[in-house]
Amino acid sequence: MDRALFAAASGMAAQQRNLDTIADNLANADVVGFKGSAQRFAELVAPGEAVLGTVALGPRTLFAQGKLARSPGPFDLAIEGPGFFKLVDAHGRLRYTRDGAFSRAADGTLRNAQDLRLAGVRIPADALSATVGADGNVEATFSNGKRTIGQIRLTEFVAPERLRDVGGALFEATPDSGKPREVVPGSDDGPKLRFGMLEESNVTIIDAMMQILTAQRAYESNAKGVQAADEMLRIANNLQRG
Amino acid sequence: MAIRYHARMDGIAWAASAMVAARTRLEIATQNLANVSTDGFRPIAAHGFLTALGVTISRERVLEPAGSIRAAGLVSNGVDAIAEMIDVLAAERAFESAQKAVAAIDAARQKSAEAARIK
Repeated sequence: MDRALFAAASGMAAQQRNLDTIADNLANADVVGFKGSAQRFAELVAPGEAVLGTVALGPRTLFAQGKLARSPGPFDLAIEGPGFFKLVDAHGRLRYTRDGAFSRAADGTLRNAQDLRLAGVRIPADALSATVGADGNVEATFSNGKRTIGQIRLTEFVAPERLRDVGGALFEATPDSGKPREVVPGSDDGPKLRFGMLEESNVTIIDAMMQILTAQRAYESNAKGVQAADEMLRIANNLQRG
Repeated sequence: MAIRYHARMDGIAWAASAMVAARTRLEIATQNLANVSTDGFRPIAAHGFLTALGVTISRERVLEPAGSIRAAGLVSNGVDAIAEMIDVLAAERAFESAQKAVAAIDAARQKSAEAARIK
């Protein structure tokens, strides 16, 4: 009974962690470039098939493409296909993101909402406006005509799911994710840049709600298992007459 | 022809074996329930059978893939939560019945011990 008690309790704990992950997904459902995650579980078995329940292994980021939505921002970019924007923070550290909501700073760089700089592009001070093509080429309009002033390149990883989530829809390269590889967008089979669009989070509210219901019911049935094991212990205690 | 009884083959031992079997059944059901969200989990099936020493439960992995391919995060891995819940309840009641049997045999023996003392 103690094993049944433990197995059922471990199921409750695992579903609790599951719910944490789902709640995090839901909370960030409206964050541009956010990637939802799914909790992973593993069965616990001691040698000789003694059952020990389950364990939550931690969340795994799901890098499925989010929906592209038209956006009126002055420098909104979305990636269609794999790849990340390469950002540089105030300490010179590299961060990768799918959130392409940039704006022009006074020094001509493109910065995101957290003030991280998009690597590789600087818009001259006398440029009136700028657009970005599907191939990443930045074309600025000057008083005397248009000129290409740079190219936004994307970064791909061999194993993007091994990137470390540092919050704010930003990711950091790890030894497990492989070396960052620079890609030029716009090729036939590669990622493309969409100017004037943003990538919404890949979390679907309905899916998340379904997951909550499932997790809640799983939690409940495990709680019933704990109750049953407890009740059995009580019955066993009744064998001893007082 | 004399019937040969096994040394442990008495009522209390039989009823106790049923209690142990019910406990094993609960263990298996809770293990399956605990892993209702585990990817690639194969549920354990409980088979009860009768031996000279009472009831035993054997466990067997259900190996054929009963789960279906699912969208990320939506559970389906072959664990039938309803069947497992019923198993939890059934195991609990079976345990209770077996305990009652042990208690009844114990009470009957106590009565005969008292009767023997009076006469």
